[in-house]
Amino acid sequence: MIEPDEWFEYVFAMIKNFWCRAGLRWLGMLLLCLAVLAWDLAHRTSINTPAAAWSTAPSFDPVQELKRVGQGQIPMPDNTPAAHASSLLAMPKTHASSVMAFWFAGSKESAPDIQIAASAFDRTSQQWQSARFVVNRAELGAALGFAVRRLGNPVAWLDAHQRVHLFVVATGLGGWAASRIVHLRQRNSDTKLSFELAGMLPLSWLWNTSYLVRNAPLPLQDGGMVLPVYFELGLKYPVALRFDADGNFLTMVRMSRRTHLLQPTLVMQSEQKWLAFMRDQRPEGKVTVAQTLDAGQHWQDLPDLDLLNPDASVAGLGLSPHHMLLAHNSSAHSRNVLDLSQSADGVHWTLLQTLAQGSGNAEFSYPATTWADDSLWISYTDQRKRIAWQRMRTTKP
Amino acid sequence: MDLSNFWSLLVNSSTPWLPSPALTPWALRGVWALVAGAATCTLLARQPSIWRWWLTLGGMAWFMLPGAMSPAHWLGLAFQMPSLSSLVLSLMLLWRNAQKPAKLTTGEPVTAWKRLSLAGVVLGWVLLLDTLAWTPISIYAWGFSPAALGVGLMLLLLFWALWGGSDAQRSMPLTLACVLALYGLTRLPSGNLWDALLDPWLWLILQWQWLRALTCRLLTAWRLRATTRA
Repeated sequence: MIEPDEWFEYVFAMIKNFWCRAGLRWLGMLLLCLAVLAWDLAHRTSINTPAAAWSTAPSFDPVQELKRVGQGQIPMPDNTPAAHASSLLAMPKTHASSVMAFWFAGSKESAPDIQIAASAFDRTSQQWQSARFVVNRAELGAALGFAVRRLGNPVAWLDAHQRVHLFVVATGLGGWAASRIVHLRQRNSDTKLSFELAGMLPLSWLWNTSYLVRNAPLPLQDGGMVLPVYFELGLKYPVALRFDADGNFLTMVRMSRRTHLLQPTLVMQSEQKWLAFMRDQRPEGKVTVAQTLDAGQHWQDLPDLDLLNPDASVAGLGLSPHHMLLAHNSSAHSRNVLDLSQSADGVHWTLLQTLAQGSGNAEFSYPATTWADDSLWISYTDQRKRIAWQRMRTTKP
Repeated sequence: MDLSNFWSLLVNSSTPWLPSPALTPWALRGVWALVAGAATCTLLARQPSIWRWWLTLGGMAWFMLPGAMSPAHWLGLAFQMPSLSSLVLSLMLLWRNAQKPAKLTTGEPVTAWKRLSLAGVVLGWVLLLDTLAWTPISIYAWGFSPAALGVGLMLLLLFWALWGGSDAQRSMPLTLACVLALYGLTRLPSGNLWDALLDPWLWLILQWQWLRALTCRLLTAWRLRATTRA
């Protein structure tokens, strides 16, 4: 029994015992944890949630018609019989080109010789320049430190420093379902278009597989962008990735709770309200929709559109708050008709014009859209052999 | 504030810090070399020491070769980089193999390691279900945030409080401390904490160990019952 006058000595002895045995260990571990956390926080900055930016001029008048003023096929690199999955990039007014196009080309889709090709529409000559290859899997594998089995869908973006960023699908072991997204960035002070590795986007715990990119990013008011991507291993769902003005990865947000949707395209209705239109994998599918009301922080599924979707990629563009465009295949079970539709509310769509039409197994697919030089630019795959393009200007009705 | 708003704040409050693309190719070869070396050394445990170590070091050197000559070039194609947990456990295995006599794990694992391996199994299932969009919120995205690292460090302190005082069990929290410190310094393998803590191969190994232990326990109980009845 400890006497009251011995309590103080007893407690003091216990404290001393604790510090001698466990206290130093505790203190050491606590200091290590605090050091790791402090080091981590020192390398972070807080994220804002900027609104989207319009690609059209503020003076754009939506009450106008679109008239085709140019069309054709983008030149191909020599000896490349196959082409697919184009992406368009609007260039600034000071650049020599209006638009750049990127796509994958080679002997056939998923062939080992597939590379990423590029061409530019020259403002002076009003012609597409000769195409050339800008990314190949051997150089990409050497930069990454591990092999790349195949290359696929490229998507381009221009950052706040006028550098072209390229997001390219690179497959691992297992075809498209084992894809990853590689991020490339134009080399500094490089007048000739060449790219350096920015990194592999870390998107999945399962060996970082099964994420792909297809459609153009949505520009933000802070110079950053939101890149729509999708997961494709069995289940398919869309995800929005946010990047800052330098092209640094910021966040990832799932866009839908449904698991049969892929290849989202982002269309802004306002700075805060965006719609995502997606390809539907189901038979008898429709163009599916999700929306955000807070600049991409949260997404909600909406009812499917009345537009048929024969498991085909769509491409959308918001020109003004009540003028949206959507390029899509509109025939059931085939991609032999490619249409351009318009909508004021994102729900009710009317056909603007047919972009391309064929019969039987003809294919006009994987459209891409952009706005440059007061024109709507559209590109799409033509029979999996060429990339076709069209240019439309607005005219008063 | 509802759950999704709170989750957004927790996940998206600050920029991810990703590893340098210049560091990653070297780290890929180095980590695979160490994991392969540990596996080789352990599998050859019964072989004469000189052969075991020559094969182990030779294999590791093979993994460090540049480009397509290295098996890491092809393993990275399929499986990217192993987790930092795999790296630290491999280093521990190599260290134990290097002791004379080799101090490999025998007998029943201590409580701390049992708890950690169970946590690894559960975490793996959560991450797999998250990958397949079965979770209501994105668990993987949270791995980029400092909040996730903060929670990891708090768990480390808890484990240290529970097992740091025991010589037999101290190795578990020390291992976790090494993993978190390495992650804090290098951001390997991907800048995401979950990738640093657990990779799918390690998760499969942990599951196999748990299933094996469970099967042994059930068989033992069945035999005991059969013996008792007899």
